[in-house]
This record gives sequence, structure tokens and C-alpha cells, in this order.
Amino acid sequence: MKILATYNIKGGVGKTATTVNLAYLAAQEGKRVLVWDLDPQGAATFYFRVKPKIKGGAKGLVKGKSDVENLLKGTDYENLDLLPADFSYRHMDLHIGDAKKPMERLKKVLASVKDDYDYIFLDCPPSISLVSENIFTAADGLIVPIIPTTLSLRTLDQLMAFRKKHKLHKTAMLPFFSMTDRRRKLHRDIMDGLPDELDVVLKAHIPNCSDVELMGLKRAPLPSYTQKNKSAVRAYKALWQEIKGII
Amino acid sequence: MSINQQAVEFFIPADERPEQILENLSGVLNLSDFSPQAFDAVFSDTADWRLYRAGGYMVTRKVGRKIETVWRDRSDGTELARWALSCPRFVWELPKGIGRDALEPVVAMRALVPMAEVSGTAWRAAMLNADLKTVARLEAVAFSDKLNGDDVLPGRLRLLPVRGYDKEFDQALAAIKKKTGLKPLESDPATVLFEAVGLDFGTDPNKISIEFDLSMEAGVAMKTVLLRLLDIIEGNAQGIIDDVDTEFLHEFRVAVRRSRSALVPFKDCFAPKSFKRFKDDLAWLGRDTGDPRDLDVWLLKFPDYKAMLPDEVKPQIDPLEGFLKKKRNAAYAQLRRDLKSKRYHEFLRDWRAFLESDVSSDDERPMARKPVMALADKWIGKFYKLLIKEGCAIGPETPAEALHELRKTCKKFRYQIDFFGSLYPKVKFKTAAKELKRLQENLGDFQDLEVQADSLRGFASEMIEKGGKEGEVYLAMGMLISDLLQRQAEVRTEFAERFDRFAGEENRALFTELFMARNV
Repeated sequence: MKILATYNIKGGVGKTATTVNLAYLAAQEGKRVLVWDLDPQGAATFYFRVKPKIKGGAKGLVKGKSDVENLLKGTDYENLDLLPADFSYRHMDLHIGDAKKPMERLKKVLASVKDDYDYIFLDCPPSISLVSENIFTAADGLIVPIIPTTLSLRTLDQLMAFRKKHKLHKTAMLPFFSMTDRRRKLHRDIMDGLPDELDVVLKAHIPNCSDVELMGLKRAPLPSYTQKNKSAVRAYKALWQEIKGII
Repeated sequence: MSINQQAVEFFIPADERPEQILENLSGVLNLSDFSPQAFDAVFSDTADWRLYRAGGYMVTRKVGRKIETVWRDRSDGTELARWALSCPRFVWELPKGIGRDALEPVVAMRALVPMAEVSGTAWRAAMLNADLKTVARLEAVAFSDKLNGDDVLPGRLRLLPVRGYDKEFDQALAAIKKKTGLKPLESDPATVLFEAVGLDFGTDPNKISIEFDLSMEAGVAMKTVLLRLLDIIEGNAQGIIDDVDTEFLHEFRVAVRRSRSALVPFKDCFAPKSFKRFKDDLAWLGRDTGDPRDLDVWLLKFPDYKAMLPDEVKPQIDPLEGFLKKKRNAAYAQLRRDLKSKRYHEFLRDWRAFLESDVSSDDERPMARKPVMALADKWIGKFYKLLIKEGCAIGPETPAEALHELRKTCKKFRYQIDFFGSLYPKVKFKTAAKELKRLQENLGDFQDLEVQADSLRGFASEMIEKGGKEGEVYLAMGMLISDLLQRQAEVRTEFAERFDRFAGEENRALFTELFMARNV
């Protein structure tokens, strides 16, 4: 079982779309997949048409009082389950801080179901917090969508420094360019002229297009309602292939 | 542990249209649109029904261009694994993952082969909640295949759960029961189909499983055992010819070996001259199957051998695999010719005729008319005593040949136990057989490791003779030989402990009570 966390300190970078689409592609391959929507805003939960509510809330989960298995929801797609978001996740930091061995809490929550899945995707809330530090410890790979702007590259720099400082070398860094627009000079310049220290950025990138935006309206993963040959679908497939090759 | 709730299936009577049932249900349940789709379904299992016997079944369904293979629990329809592909021949052809991990120990090296097929039309609908989220699935099915005569399998209505929506599933179940009055399937869909098409299914075709009755005459009992073994020999030959998987040859070979062992007590009942020819034929089949089986084992264990080598040496051993494959194909080609030969077919015909016929009184020995128990006690007791004698004579310095001899005696003892097992109390018998198995494993490993090291030397010479140029492969093979011999030395040190446990007071008393009390 591999845990893949989609994370960025910034919001609105295509994080949830990435989680939902990659999880869908993995499930379509016949892998058993779980998505844990850790973001209290519950965007992934919304895409899967599931109610953003879990019994016992964040406290029950973190303290180990809730039976995780009973909280899971099957999505509309075979092999793909969801541990839904809950508004109480906004206080998750506090509960984690109160718990024993706070850095391993999230991993512990998943312990009872991890053998049932090939991949567990964590859709993480933006910001750096105890939750995100927990995610870095638990994940085998950190999928980081970045918009090709100068500021985004700085964020990536900070993340790499954080990983180095906390010796999280086992976690594979999987940054990729998201919402790219090759008509824009800035995007082109940044994508083509990456400094050497950032050569970890994956080759696959996801274009900014209306098909992806439609996910909110359709409330479904992009490849489930779009033709296979559409560029965005091909891009997500390429991204998934590249990630699988690394982890 | 499984992560899915059970599915429920209902029969649809012949006078009702499946799609009409869904139509009626859409009045009480919020169902998505549905339209007819043709489908083909193939139920697969291993030739010895490993999936079925382990309580499951595997079905591959093709609907339009979509193919999926699902492995389900027979008891409650729970989905154990699902793959978006057709059923592979071997488990290792599946993508790595928890589904494959779970299936691997069940089917092991056996090929999955189609057992029964059905086709028809399916109407699939999703049961939706207010958010248009699927909370359960319904599927109405009409089969088009003709079974015996004009009968067609009755249609089905399936209710499939979605995880976390138990309440909605119960609502759907209640609605189906109330609105349609359909009757649930009495057994799982696989059993229903296998019965309908008249398959002989669900049992291991290679199991001897003969229940003797205590008063049965020894001569009749021996013929019964040998006839059953002949069935197993015949039953596996086609699988070898078609090269379905390696177990056909293995089972064939074991049945030949067991037949040869059964001839030992058999000769107490009948004059050897009457079956001398069959003894020679069985010996011929034993010899003929040796090489191909050894090569099968080499190839099956190849990944393990490779894993024994250091990482940088691993790729260097690959030419050996190619060499072994070629050698195996040649050995199988020869075996195939033998299994199609006149000699083989005449053996089958005449051996069966001999075993099924009344043997003339001239050929019959007095033991033939005695109860089978007397024969069983005699031979089990004899081999047991021999086994203890040979084993006790082995010390740390005893040459390896003595252990090899002991292994053979163990095997002969084992076969007698297998033939006559049903005559003895089951529980005690199982305890006695357990220590024997541990001892046999040790002796088996000891000899196998030596044979493997020897074979590797032989393979290397052959490869060089044939002009093999990959020098590194010989280096890797040398490392493997050294590992195997080291392992053999370790196995040897374990022998004393295993034998002592087998020959210990408690076990000895048990064996005496079971097999020899009447002889004392």
C-alpha cells in the first residue's frame, strides 16, 4: 500500500482535481483506492457527491475512538472509496497536538484499513500545520501541484528545505506544473528554464482548461465524463504514469 | 478482511421480463436510466477447482467494450477483488496489488481455465439519492444460452451494495421483496450455473479419497486403489499434452509413483507374473516424466534462486532461464510423443481391463480374500519399522546416501498411509501424519538441494558445450551452487531433531496403537 498526499501551501492550484482524477485513474486500472478528504472545505467529497460529514468528527478519528471502516463511503466508481471531509477537520491540529506521538497520528488512523487498499490518496488542506507535518511523515509520495509563477517556485523551495530539515527523505517529492498556459510567456519561461536545484519537477503538466473547471459542475472525475483523447485527460494519465514509475 | 457488503440475487420467472421488473421498481426507487446491453460471462477456475473449493468463484464479464473480472465469495457474494481485464491464465499475469496477493496463495501455479460460459442481456441501473449519488446498483439479466434442450437459465435480478450506504441498500431490498415477490437464489450464481450445465464440479479430481470398509477384501481394495490412480493418470494426460500448467504433470507423476508403491501390497494378493508388464510400463512412465518435472520445478523456483543472489549478480543468471525453458520444451515434446504412443494407450487399456476383471484363482494369493485391514497393518507396520531402523542408524557422519534411502522409505510409508488412511481413527491419524510430514520435508530438502547443485553443474557443462558465451552466468551459477550446498548442510543439522520428534516415545506409542497393535 502506498500513501500519496496532494499538497500545496497555497490554495487554488488544482490540488483536489489532481487527487480525484489520479485516484479515479488508479481505480480504473483495478487498484483498490481510498481518498481521504482532509480539507474541511470538502471539495473532493463534493466531487464524489458524498455528504461532508463523519460521525465523531475529527476528534473521534484522531483519538482513535471512531471505527474508520464504518466511516468509509463507496463512490460511484468501482474500487474507489472515500473517507469524507468534515467541517470539524478545521480543528484537527488541536486534536493532533493533544494526542500521544502527534507526528504519527494520521498514519495510525489509517492503520486499520491500509491493508484493504493499494493506494490511499490524501487531499490535504493548504497551509503548513501539524496536519501537514503529519502528512509528510505518513506519505510515500508528496504530489505538489505548482502554477508556473515565480512565487510558486519559492513555495516549492521552502517545501524542499522543510523536507531536508526534518529528514523526510523517504517521502518522494512529486511536484508538477498545474494549470499551465503555454500562451503565457511567464509560464513558458519558468517551465523551460527551471533552475538545476528544482529538476525534481515532473515532466507531465496539467493544462489550464475548461474541461477541468467543469468537474465542479459535473461533480465527477474528469476522465469519467470526457473523451479519452482530450488533452487534459491525456495529461492526467501521463502524470499518473510518471508518478507510478517513481513510487 | 473484505471491505464490501454482500450482494443479493433473485430468480426472475420465465413469464416475466427482466426490464419490466426494473421499470416497476423505478416507481418506488429513484433509479437512473437503463438500456439493454449484451454481455458474455465466463466462469473460470483451476482444473482442480481451487477457487470453488476455497469458497469463491471468478467471473469475467464482457459488456460492450468493457471487460471486468471479479472474484467473489460464494457464501454471500462479497467482492474479493476486481480487475478491469479478462481473466488471465496465471495469477502472476495480474497487475501487482492486494487482489493478486490474496489470489496467489489460493491458485498458486495452476492455470485459470474457462469452466462455463453464459451470455445474455443486462439492464443496469443505479439507485440514486437526492445528490444523484449512486447508493446501490440494480441489474436485471436475461440469459440467452440454451442449456439441455430448450431450457434457458432463468433470469436474475441483482442488488449490489455501495459501501457506506447500508440503509439505502436495505430500502432497496425491502422494495424488491414487496414490489416483485421474486425468490432469492438458493445458492451462489456459480453453483447454479455449474449445476445447470451439468458440470462435475467442486471436488479435487486428484484426491484418492477412498473410504474403505473394514471388511472389504484386500484384493478388491487394492484394485480399487489402483483403478482410482489410473483415473488420475488418465485425467491429467491431456493437460500435459496441451501444456495447460505444470500441475498436470505433477499429479500424473505422483499417481504413477503411488501406483508403483501400491504394487508392493498388491503382490501379496496376486501373482506378480500376471502384472509384470504393467510394472514395467509404470516404471517407464516414471522415468519419462522425471526430466520434464525437474525442469518445471527449476523454472517455478527460478525467481527464488535469483533472489538468493546479490543484487549486482542477479541479471547475470538470466541466460540460465532461457536455457532451461528450451530444455523444458524439448523434454515436453518427447513426453507428448510418449503420451500419444501405442505403448501408452495399450498400457491404459490393458491395465484397466486387468484391474476391472476377475483375476483367475491361479493368480490369486490367500491374502486377496482376507480383510483389507490385515494388509494395511502388515505394510504400514513393515515400512514403519524399516523407517525407524534406517533413521536410528543415521549419525552426523553418515554418508548422504543413507538419508536418501530413508527418504524413499518415508515416501513408501507415506503412500501406504494415504491408501489405507480411511481404515484408522481420523484424529489420531492426523497427529501421526504431522510429524511424518515434518521429517519428509527435511529429507526432501536435503536431497533436492544436492540434486539441484548437481544439476546446475550439469547445466553449466551443457551450456558451454552448446557454445554459451555469457561467462558471467557461470559465475552466478557457481555462487548458487555454493549457496545450495551451504543450505543443504544446514538442513542436515536439522535432521536429528526432526527424526527424534518423529521417532519419539509419544509418537511411537501412537503409531503402535494405530497400525501395529494387532500384529503384536
